Amino acid sequence: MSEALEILLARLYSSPLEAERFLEDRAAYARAAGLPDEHLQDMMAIDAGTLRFTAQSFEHKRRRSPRAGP
Amino acid sequence: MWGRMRRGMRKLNETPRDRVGLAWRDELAVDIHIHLQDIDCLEILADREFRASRQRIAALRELARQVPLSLHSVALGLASSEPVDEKRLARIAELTSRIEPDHWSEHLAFVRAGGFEIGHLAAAPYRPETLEGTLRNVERARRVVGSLPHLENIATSIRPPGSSWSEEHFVGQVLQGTRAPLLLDLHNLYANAWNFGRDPVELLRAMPLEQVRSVHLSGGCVVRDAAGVARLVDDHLHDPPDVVFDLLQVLAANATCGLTVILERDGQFPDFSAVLRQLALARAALARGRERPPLCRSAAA
Repeated sequence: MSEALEILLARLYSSPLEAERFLEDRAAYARAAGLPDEHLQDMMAIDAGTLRFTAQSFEHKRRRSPRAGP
Repeated sequence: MWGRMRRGMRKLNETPRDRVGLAWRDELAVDIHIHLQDIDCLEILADREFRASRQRIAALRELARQVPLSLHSVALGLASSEPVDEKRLARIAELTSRIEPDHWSEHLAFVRAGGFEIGHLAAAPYRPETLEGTLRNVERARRVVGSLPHLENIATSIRPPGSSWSEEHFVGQVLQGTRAPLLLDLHNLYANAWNFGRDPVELLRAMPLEQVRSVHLSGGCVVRDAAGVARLVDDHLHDPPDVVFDLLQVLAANATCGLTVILERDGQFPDFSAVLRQLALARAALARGRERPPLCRSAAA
Protein backbone atom coordinates (compact mmCIF):
# COMPACT_ATOMS: atom_id res chain seq x y z
CA MET A 1 0.00 0.00 0.00
CA SER A 2 2.85 2.34 0.87
CA GLU A 3 4.35 1.50 -2.53
CA ALA A 4 1.45 3.17 -4.36
CA LEU A 5 1.86 6.23 -2.16
CA GLU A 6 5.60 6.37 -2.90
CA ILE A 7 4.94 6.06 -6.63
CA LEU A 8 2.50 8.95 -6.54
CA LEU A 9 4.89 11.09 -4.50
CA ALA A 10 7.78 10.29 -6.88
CA ARG A 11 5.55 11.33 -9.77
CA LEU A 12 4.76 14.69 -8.13
CA TYR A 13 8.33 15.33 -6.97
CA SER A 14 9.78 14.53 -10.38
CA SER A 15 7.77 17.23 -12.18
CA PRO A 16 6.40 20.60 -10.98
CA LEU A 17 3.88 20.32 -13.83
CA GLU A 18 2.54 17.04 -12.44
CA ALA A 19 2.35 18.64 -8.99
CA GLU A 20 0.17 21.42 -10.45
CA ARG A 21 -2.05 18.94 -12.23
CA PHE A 22 -2.48 17.06 -8.96
CA LEU A 23 -3.41 20.26 -7.11
CA GLU A 24 -6.11 21.07 -9.68
CA ASP A 25 -8.12 17.99 -8.68
CA ARG A 26 -6.36 15.94 -6.02
CA ALA A 27 -8.87 13.12 -5.63
CA ALA A 28 -9.29 12.51 -9.35
CA TYR A 29 -5.55 12.63 -9.96
CA ALA A 30 -4.77 10.30 -7.05
CA ARG A 31 -7.44 7.77 -8.05
CA ALA A 32 -6.31 7.84 -11.67
CA ALA A 33 -2.77 7.15 -10.44
CA GLY A 34 -4.01 4.04 -8.62
CA LEU A 35 -3.79 5.32 -5.05
CA PRO A 36 -5.88 3.22 -2.65
CA ASP A 37 -8.64 5.15 -0.85
CA GLU A 38 -6.91 4.62 2.49
CA HIS A 39 -4.22 7.12 1.43
CA LEU A 40 -6.56 9.65 -0.16
CA GLN A 41 -6.86 11.74 2.99
CA ASP A 42 -3.06 11.94 3.25
CA MET A 43 -2.91 13.45 -0.22
CA MET A 44 -5.86 15.79 0.39
CA ALA A 45 -4.07 17.15 3.47
CA ILE A 46 -0.89 18.25 1.67
CA ASP A 47 -0.27 21.98 1.87
CA ALA A 48 -0.32 23.25 -1.73
CA GLY A 49 2.48 25.80 -1.19
CA THR A 50 4.73 23.21 0.41
CA LEU A 51 4.16 20.72 -2.41
CA ARG A 52 4.85 23.38 -5.06
CA PHE A 53 8.01 24.45 -3.25
CA THR A 54 9.18 20.84 -2.87
CA ALA A 55 8.59 19.95 -6.54
CA GLN A 56 10.32 23.14 -7.70
CA SER A 57 13.18 22.58 -5.28
CA PHE A 58 13.79 19.09 -6.72
CA GLU A 59 13.62 20.53 -10.23
CA HIS A 60 16.21 23.16 -9.27
CA LYS A 61 18.48 20.54 -7.70
CA ARG A 62 18.23 18.27 -10.75
CA ARG A 63 19.38 21.14 -12.97
CA ARG A 64 22.17 22.22 -10.64
CA SER A 65 23.55 18.84 -9.69
CA PRO A 66 22.22 15.72 -11.39
CA ARG A 67 24.01 13.57 -8.83
CA ALA A 68 21.16 11.21 -8.06
CA GLY A 69 19.98 10.79 -11.62
CA PRO A 70 19.53 7.49 -13.40
CA MET B 1 40.89 -7.48 40.13
CA TRP B 2 42.67 -4.11 40.67
CA GLY B 3 44.17 -4.33 37.19
CA ARG B 4 40.76 -4.87 35.71
CA MET B 5 39.37 -1.89 37.67
CA ARG B 6 42.25 0.34 36.57
CA ARG B 7 41.65 -0.66 32.95
CA GLY B 8 37.93 0.06 33.42
CA MET B 9 38.62 3.50 34.90
CA ARG B 10 41.05 4.30 32.11
CA LYS B 11 38.33 3.37 29.64
CA LEU B 12 35.90 5.75 31.37
CA ASN B 13 38.41 8.58 31.25
CA GLU B 14 39.48 8.07 27.67
CA THR B 15 38.28 10.63 25.16
CA PRO B 16 36.99 8.96 22.03
CA ARG B 17 39.17 9.50 18.95
CA ASP B 18 37.46 11.95 16.62
CA ARG B 19 38.48 12.73 13.03
CA VAL B 20 37.75 15.88 11.06
CA GLY B 21 37.99 16.15 7.29
CA LEU B 22 36.07 17.05 4.20
CA ALA B 23 34.29 15.80 1.14
CA TRP B 24 36.56 15.40 -1.87
CA ARG B 25 35.73 17.68 -4.77
CA ASP B 26 38.00 17.92 -7.80
CA GLU B 27 37.94 21.73 -7.49
CA LEU B 28 39.68 21.33 -4.10
CA ALA B 29 42.10 18.57 -5.11
CA VAL B 30 45.29 20.64 -5.17
CA ASP B 31 44.57 22.29 -1.81
CA ILE B 32 43.58 18.97 -0.26
CA HIS B 33 46.93 17.44 -1.26
CA ILE B 34 48.87 20.49 -0.02
CA HIS B 35 47.09 20.46 3.36
CA LEU B 36 46.67 16.71 3.80
CA GLN B 37 48.44 16.91 7.18
CA ASP B 38 45.54 19.08 8.45
CA ILE B 39 42.88 16.70 7.17
CA ASP B 40 42.11 13.56 9.19
CA CYS B 41 39.71 11.94 6.73
CA LEU B 42 38.10 12.34 3.32
CA GLU B 43 34.82 11.38 1.70
CA ILE B 44 34.43 10.42 -1.96
CA LEU B 45 31.11 10.70 -3.79
CA ALA B 46 30.64 7.16 -5.08
CA ASP B 47 28.25 7.98 -7.91
CA ARG B 48 30.82 10.25 -9.55
CA GLU B 49 33.34 7.41 -9.67
CA PHE B 50 31.21 4.74 -11.37
CA ARG B 51 32.90 5.43 -14.70
CA ALA B 52 36.29 6.40 -13.29
CA SER B 53 39.39 5.39 -15.21
CA ARG B 54 41.73 2.72 -13.90
CA GLN B 55 44.28 5.43 -13.07
CA ARG B 56 41.77 7.43 -11.05
CA ILE B 57 40.68 4.35 -9.09
CA ALA B 58 44.34 3.60 -8.39
CA ALA B 59 44.81 7.18 -7.16
CA LEU B 60 41.76 6.91 -4.89
CA ARG B 61 43.03 3.59 -3.55
CA GLU B 62 46.38 5.20 -2.80
CA LEU B 63 44.60 8.10 -1.11
CA ALA B 64 42.64 5.61 1.01
CA ARG B 65 45.96 4.25 2.26
CA GLN B 66 47.12 7.72 3.33
CA VAL B 67 43.96 8.91 5.02
CA PRO B 68 40.72 7.21 6.16
CA LEU B 69 38.35 7.43 3.22
CA SER B 70 34.59 7.03 3.20
CA LEU B 71 32.62 6.23 0.08
CA HIS B 72 29.36 8.18 -0.03
CA SER B 73 26.49 6.97 -2.15
CA VAL B 74 23.50 9.15 -3.03
CA ALA B 75 21.12 7.21 -5.25
CA LEU B 76 20.47 3.68 -3.97
CA GLY B 77 17.09 4.60 -2.56
CA LEU B 78 17.38 2.47 0.57
CA ALA B 79 14.49 4.03 2.50
CA SER B 80 11.75 2.75 0.28
CA SER B 81 9.23 -0.02 0.03
CA GLU B 82 10.67 -0.62 -3.47
CA PRO B 83 13.72 -2.86 -3.77
CA VAL B 84 17.10 -1.19 -3.87
CA ASP B 85 18.64 -0.47 -7.30
CA GLU B 86 20.71 -3.63 -7.89
CA LYS B 87 22.88 -2.16 -10.65
CA ARG B 88 23.97 0.72 -8.46
CA LEU B 89 24.52 -1.65 -5.57
CA ALA B 90 26.81 -3.78 -7.71
CA ARG B 91 28.77 -0.65 -8.68
CA ILE B 92 29.14 0.34 -5.03
CA ALA B 93 30.36 -3.17 -4.23
CA GLU B 94 32.90 -2.98 -7.04
CA LEU B 95 34.13 0.44 -5.92
CA THR B 96 34.52 -0.64 -2.30
CA SER B 97 36.52 -3.69 -3.33
CA ARG B 98 38.78 -1.61 -5.59
CA ILE B 99 39.29 1.46 -3.36
CA GLU B 100 39.03 -0.25 0.05
CA PRO B 101 37.50 2.68 1.93
CA ASP B 102 37.25 2.88 5.70
CA HIS B 103 33.45 2.62 5.35
CA TRP B 104 30.62 3.50 3.02
CA SER B 105 27.42 5.44 3.51
CA GLU B 106 24.01 6.11 1.99
CA HIS B 107 20.94 8.20 2.80
CA LEU B 108 17.67 7.20 4.40
CA ALA B 109 15.83 8.41 1.33
CA PHE B 110 13.94 7.26 -1.71
CA VAL B 111 14.97 8.64 -5.08
CA ARG B 112 12.65 6.80 -7.47
CA ALA B 113 9.43 4.78 -7.48
CA GLY B 114 7.34 3.17 -10.18
CA GLY B 115 9.77 4.31 -12.86
CA PHE B 116 9.63 8.00 -11.80
CA GLU B 117 13.12 9.36 -11.08
CA ILE B 118 13.06 12.18 -8.53
CA GLY B 119 16.73 12.81 -9.23
CA HIS B 120 17.42 13.73 -5.62
CA LEU B 121 16.85 12.62 -2.06
CA ALA B 122 13.25 12.52 -0.89
CA ALA B 123 11.78 11.40 2.41
CA ALA B 124 9.50 8.39 2.05
CA PRO B 125 6.46 8.17 4.34
CA TYR B 126 7.56 7.39 7.88
CA ARG B 127 5.42 4.30 8.37
CA PRO B 128 5.77 0.56 9.01
CA GLU B 129 5.71 -0.46 5.33
CA THR B 130 8.61 1.88 4.54
CA LEU B 131 10.48 0.54 7.55
CA GLU B 132 10.03 -3.06 6.33
CA GLY B 133 11.31 -2.12 2.86
CA THR B 134 14.23 -0.20 4.34
CA LEU B 135 15.28 -3.13 6.54
CA ARG B 136 15.17 -5.44 3.50
CA ASN B 137 17.16 -2.98 1.39
CA VAL B 138 19.84 -2.35 4.00
CA GLU B 139 20.27 -6.09 4.53
CA ARG B 140 20.53 -6.60 0.77
CA ALA B 141 23.14 -3.81 0.61
CA ARG B 142 25.11 -5.42 3.44
CA ARG B 143 25.14 -8.76 1.65
CA VAL B 144 26.20 -7.35 -1.71
CA VAL B 145 28.76 -4.79 -0.51
CA GLY B 146 30.02 -6.84 2.41
CA SER B 147 29.46 -4.26 5.15
CA LEU B 148 26.67 -2.17 6.57
CA PRO B 149 26.45 1.40 5.28
CA HIS B 150 26.46 4.36 7.64
CA LEU B 151 22.87 5.61 7.21
CA GLU B 152 22.30 9.36 6.86
CA ASN B 153 19.28 11.44 7.87
CA ILE B 154 18.07 13.76 5.11
CA ALA B 155 16.64 17.26 4.91
CA THR B 156 13.07 17.58 3.69
CA SER B 157 10.88 20.61 3.04
CA ILE B 158 7.72 18.53 3.26
CA ARG B 159 6.62 16.21 6.02
CA PRO B 160 6.24 12.98 4.04
CA PRO B 161 2.51 12.55 3.32
CA GLY B 162 1.12 9.36 4.80
CA SER B 163 3.55 9.36 7.72
CA SER B 164 2.36 7.80 10.93
CA TRP B 165 5.66 8.31 12.76
CA SER B 166 8.05 11.19 13.43
CA GLU B 167 11.36 11.36 11.58
CA GLU B 168 13.35 10.47 14.69
CA HIS B 169 11.13 7.48 15.45
CA PHE B 170 11.59 6.20 11.90
CA VAL B 171 15.38 6.68 12.05
CA GLY B 172 15.48 4.98 15.45
CA GLN B 173 13.47 2.01 14.18
CA VAL B 174 15.71 1.61 11.12
CA LEU B 175 18.88 1.71 13.22
CA GLN B 176 17.45 -0.69 15.76
CA GLY B 177 16.45 -3.11 13.01
CA THR B 178 19.66 -2.92 11.01
CA ARG B 179 22.25 -2.18 13.74
CA ALA B 180 23.80 0.13 11.14
CA PRO B 181 25.85 3.15 12.24
CA LEU B 182 24.20 6.57 11.94
CA LEU B 183 25.74 9.26 9.76
CA LEU B 184 24.17 12.30 11.37
CA ASP B 185 23.96 15.30 9.05
CA LEU B 186 23.66 18.20 11.45
CA HIS B 187 22.59 20.75 8.86
CA ASN B 188 19.88 18.41 7.57
CA LEU B 189 18.70 18.03 11.15
CA TYR B 190 18.82 21.80 11.68
CA ALA B 191 16.94 22.46 8.42
CA ASN B 192 14.16 20.06 9.40
CA ALA B 193 13.92 21.63 12.85
CA TRP B 194 13.82 25.11 11.28
CA ASN B 195 11.22 24.22 8.66
CA PHE B 196 8.91 22.38 11.03
CA GLY B 197 9.23 24.77 14.00
CA ARG B 198 11.16 22.44 16.29
CA ASP B 199 14.02 22.94 18.71
CA PRO B 200 17.13 21.53 16.96
CA VAL B 201 18.77 20.43 20.22
CA GLU B 202 15.61 18.58 21.21
CA LEU B 203 15.51 16.90 17.80
CA LEU B 204 19.19 16.00 18.13
CA ARG B 205 18.64 14.43 21.54
CA ALA B 206 15.72 12.41 20.14
CA MET B 207 18.03 10.74 17.61
CA PRO B 208 19.76 7.43 18.51
CA LEU B 209 23.02 9.17 19.42
CA GLU B 210 24.63 5.98 20.71
CA GLN B 211 24.79 4.77 17.10
CA VAL B 212 26.34 7.91 15.59
CA ARG B 213 29.73 7.15 14.06
CA SER B 214 29.99 9.87 11.43
CA VAL B 215 28.77 13.42 10.94
CA HIS B 216 28.15 15.78 8.04
CA LEU B 217 28.48 19.55 8.35
CA SER B 218 27.24 21.85 5.62
CA GLY B 219 25.33 25.05 5.03
CA GLY B 220 22.27 26.32 3.27
CA CYS B 221 20.14 29.38 2.74
CA VAL B 222 16.67 30.68 3.47
CA VAL B 223 14.41 31.03 0.43
CA ARG B 224 10.81 32.22 0.19
CA ASP B 225 8.17 30.38 -1.77
CA ALA B 226 5.57 32.11 -3.98
CA ALA B 227 3.38 32.79 -0.95
CA GLY B 228 6.28 34.36 0.96
CA VAL B 229 6.79 31.46 3.36
CA ALA B 230 10.46 31.20 4.36
CA ARG B 231 12.16 27.80 4.21
CA LEU B 232 15.71 26.71 4.99
CA VAL B 233 17.26 24.79 2.11
CA ASP B 234 20.31 22.56 2.59
CA ASP B 235 22.24 23.55 -0.54
CA HIS B 236 25.90 22.79 0.34
CA LEU B 237 26.81 26.17 -1.16
CA HIS B 238 27.23 28.12 2.07
CA ASP B 239 29.35 27.91 5.20
CA PRO B 240 27.90 25.88 8.07
CA PRO B 241 26.09 28.29 10.41
CA ASP B 242 27.26 28.66 14.02
CA VAL B 243 24.32 26.57 15.24
CA VAL B 244 25.69 23.54 13.38
CA PHE B 245 28.92 23.75 15.38
CA ASP B 246 26.85 24.18 18.56
CA LEU B 247 24.98 20.99 17.65
CA LEU B 248 28.29 19.22 17.05
CA GLN B 249 29.37 20.19 20.56
CA VAL B 250 26.15 18.78 22.03
CA LEU B 251 26.60 15.62 19.97
CA ALA B 252 30.20 15.20 21.12
CA ALA B 253 29.06 15.55 24.73
CA ASN B 254 26.55 12.75 24.24
CA ALA B 255 28.25 10.40 21.79
CA THR B 256 30.22 7.55 23.29
CA CYS B 257 32.22 6.61 20.19
CA GLY B 258 34.74 8.45 18.08
CA LEU B 259 33.16 10.57 15.36
CA THR B 260 34.26 10.95 11.75
CA VAL B 261 33.24 14.50 10.86
CA ILE B 262 33.04 15.54 7.20
CA LEU B 263 32.60 19.09 5.93
CA GLU B 264 30.54 19.08 2.72
CA ARG B 265 30.61 21.73 0.02
CA ASP B 266 29.28 21.32 -3.52
CA GLY B 267 30.01 24.74 -5.04
CA GLN B 268 30.75 28.45 -4.48
CA PHE B 269 33.99 27.22 -2.96
CA PRO B 270 35.63 29.70 -0.60
CA ASP B 271 39.36 30.22 -0.30
CA PHE B 272 40.86 27.06 1.20
CA SER B 273 41.96 29.00 4.30
CA ALA B 274 38.24 29.39 5.07
CA VAL B 275 37.77 25.62 4.69
CA LEU B 276 40.63 25.02 7.12
CA ARG B 277 39.05 27.50 9.56
CA GLN B 278 35.80 25.52 9.42
CA LEU B 279 37.71 22.31 10.16
CA ALA B 280 39.28 24.10 13.14
CA LEU B 281 35.83 25.20 14.33
CA ALA B 282 34.66 21.58 14.12
CA ARG B 283 37.66 20.38 16.14
CA ALA B 284 37.04 23.07 18.76
CA ALA B 285 33.35 22.11 19.03
CA LEU B 286 34.31 18.44 19.46
CA ALA B 287 36.86 19.33 22.12
CA ARG B 288 34.34 21.45 24.06
CA GLY B 289 31.79 18.63 23.89
CA ARG B 290 34.28 15.98 24.98
CA GLU B 291 35.27 18.07 28.03
CA ARG B 292 31.89 17.36 29.60
CA PRO B 293 31.91 14.61 32.24
CA PRO B 294 30.82 11.13 31.09
CA LEU B 295 27.69 11.21 33.28
CA CYS B 296 26.43 14.21 31.31
CA ARG B 297 27.28 12.41 28.09
CA SER B 298 25.14 9.40 28.84
CA ALA B 299 22.28 11.29 30.50
CA ALA B 300 20.84 12.65 27.27
CA ALA B 301 21.77 9.82 24.93
